[in-house]
Amino acid sequence: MQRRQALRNIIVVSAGAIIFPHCKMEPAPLQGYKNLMLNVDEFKFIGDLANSILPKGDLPIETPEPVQEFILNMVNDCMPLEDCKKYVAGLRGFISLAKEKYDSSFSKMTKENQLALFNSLNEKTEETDPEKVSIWESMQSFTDLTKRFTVQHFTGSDYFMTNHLDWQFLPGEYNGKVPV
Amino acid sequence: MSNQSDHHFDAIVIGAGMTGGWAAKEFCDKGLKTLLLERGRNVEHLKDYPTTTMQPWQFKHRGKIPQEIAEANPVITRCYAYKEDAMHFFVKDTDHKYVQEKPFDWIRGYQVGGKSIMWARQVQRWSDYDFEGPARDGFAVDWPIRYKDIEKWYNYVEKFVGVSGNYDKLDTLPDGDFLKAWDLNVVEKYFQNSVKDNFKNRHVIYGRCAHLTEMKEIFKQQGRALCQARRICQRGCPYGGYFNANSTLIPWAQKTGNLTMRTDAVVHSIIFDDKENRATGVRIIDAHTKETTEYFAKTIFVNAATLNTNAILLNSTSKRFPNGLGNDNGLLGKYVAFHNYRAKINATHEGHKEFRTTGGRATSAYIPRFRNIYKQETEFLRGYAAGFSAGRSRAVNYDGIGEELTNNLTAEAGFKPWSVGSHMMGETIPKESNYVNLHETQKDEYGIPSLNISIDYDDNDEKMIQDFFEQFTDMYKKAGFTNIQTRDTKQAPGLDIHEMGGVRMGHDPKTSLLNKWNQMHECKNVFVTDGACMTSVATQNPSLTFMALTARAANYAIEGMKKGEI
Repeated sequence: MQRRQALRNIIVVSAGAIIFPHCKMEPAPLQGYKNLMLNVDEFKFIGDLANSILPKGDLPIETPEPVQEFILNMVNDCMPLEDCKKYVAGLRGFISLAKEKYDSSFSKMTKENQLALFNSLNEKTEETDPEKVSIWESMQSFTDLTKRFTVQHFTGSDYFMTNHLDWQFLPGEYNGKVPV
Repeated sequence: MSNQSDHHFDAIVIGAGMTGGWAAKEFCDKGLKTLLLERGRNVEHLKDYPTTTMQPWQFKHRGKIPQEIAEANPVITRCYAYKEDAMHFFVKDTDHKYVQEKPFDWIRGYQVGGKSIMWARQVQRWSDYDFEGPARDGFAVDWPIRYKDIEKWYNYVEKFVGVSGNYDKLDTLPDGDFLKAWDLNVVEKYFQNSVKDNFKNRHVIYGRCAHLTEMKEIFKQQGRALCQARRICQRGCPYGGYFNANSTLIPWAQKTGNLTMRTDAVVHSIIFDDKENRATGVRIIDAHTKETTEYFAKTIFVNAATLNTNAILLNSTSKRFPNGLGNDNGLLGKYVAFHNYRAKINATHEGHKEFRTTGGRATSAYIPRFRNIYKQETEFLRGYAAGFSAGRSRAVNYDGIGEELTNNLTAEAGFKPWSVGSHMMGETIPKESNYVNLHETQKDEYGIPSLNISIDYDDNDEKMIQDFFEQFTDMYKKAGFTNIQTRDTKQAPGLDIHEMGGVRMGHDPKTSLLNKWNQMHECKNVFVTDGACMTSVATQNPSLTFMALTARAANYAIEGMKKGEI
């Protein structure tokens, strides 16, 4: 029951955030992602979340852009407007869920709690109210997409492609029968 | 031979793509002052390949086309090569609209080099089993030429282009003048042997491709280097490792000093002089200023790419030719055909797990047509060729979250089993009901009537798809492949990018537009040597044949001009 109550609360909060995005004293929307209209904190949060999903540790990964920039480029530029809206709703729902469940901002939570929160979205919601179900699904879609693009940013990097996928820009030759 | 006026030339070539480039090269080599007209911008070799040295991770969207562009341009977005790295070489739907009386994905490249920049570079010769098709099977009209007429021009073109291939000694796919081949891999060779053991007259061979795998003097003269197997040819190649017009034909023609290239020149029509009873020049509209200009020449080659060549001729009306240039018989724009690329078949090969491949190559295996070669043997006419490739990639474990995910992704997970795949390249039958014409009311931004396209599959194509699925399922099963999946993409005609015809060659002026020299029956100083000239389409990737026909026709025209006959 506690969980359900918590979920109700975040749905109210996040729905408020969707309907009245500028009512609170929020940082100004970030330029460059016109379909998302995120603020600086939300932008930073995406980076925190991505680094929790896939911590790079000491791996020498260099990419042309920070991970949160890549994720938002892909969502903002390459997804239908409806999906962008859903992504933002899911993002805001997720931030609220962290506050409700752990009384903390995501970045200050322990690693374990961060991942527990992330994984909790794998479950089906117990809610039946279509609006609440919709918010829950937005959060699921948000975490799925964020993971997908985080992984793509990582596996598409120079380091990963060269060291783990045998990438060669100039192979020059082809060998059709090489022992594994 | 040249006239001093800057609007007068010996020859005008419309279209600076693959065939227009060939015509221009031949004319310039033989001393003719040549004007090469191109509706798009200039694309200079090396200078205008903005993405060619970019690594995959350097693209903002890692190759993906932004949603806004995709939504506004559904046709071009369906093209396999229309990705972030080469999108600047394709014409967007919104750039030059056309009318789809029936769905048709018209893939275009308006620039110097045309589609030769982004083409798939597969080059196979036709055989007499292809040239004799219409006469034997009773469709279209008889081709006015046979293999012997074009053989030396295939040689001529291949020597300049550079074609990597094996000498397969097949009557269905004559050998050419080849540079060495890359390997077929261990699974492709296994399939090759399995097909050989189980089926008569079916061959799995190396897909001949326009890549430099060996250096020769002629390529040095062109300034080209060996192919590095980067497989990102669609961006333009800094090595000139594959053949495009930009790295070869155009600079070659320019070096002669005989070429004038006019870009951003949208051809409105060919000017026909009723008194002289010949074409005298070409009327163009500047793509930016919209100003009309006329250029004049003794000979005009139309190489605007199949459908735009049709459009230009249809729009070239005069008192003598009220229905389009040379169109006394009313067949201009009709009997357009294409290649049926709808069918695909993929599977898994559980064997050969001890092997993998390394490096890269610019081609894969090819299966020449084996249906209805020596006699009619199926319920459908003609047949299909197919591509075939096998490959295996590294397994990656995407499970988990947090450090577990990092560890999973970076852990050595071995290789997936081999995947194999084929795609059908079916011959379609040219029909009067598959046509293009000029739209009665819709005009483009230059005031030129928009092209209306009405082309569709027929029952013969449907039967062929079923046969491809059946035969390849059988071939796959005999090789022990598992998880066999067939797929009919249901894609519209056009996405094959092999549309041909509308200005077909033939013996008889009553039933064709061009003679055996690609010369208009009714207007002898106009030649059509791009895909529009094709009487039938066979199954081979057609560019090599277009190039050979162009070189042949250009040299015929040159001789004719020397003799004063043209």
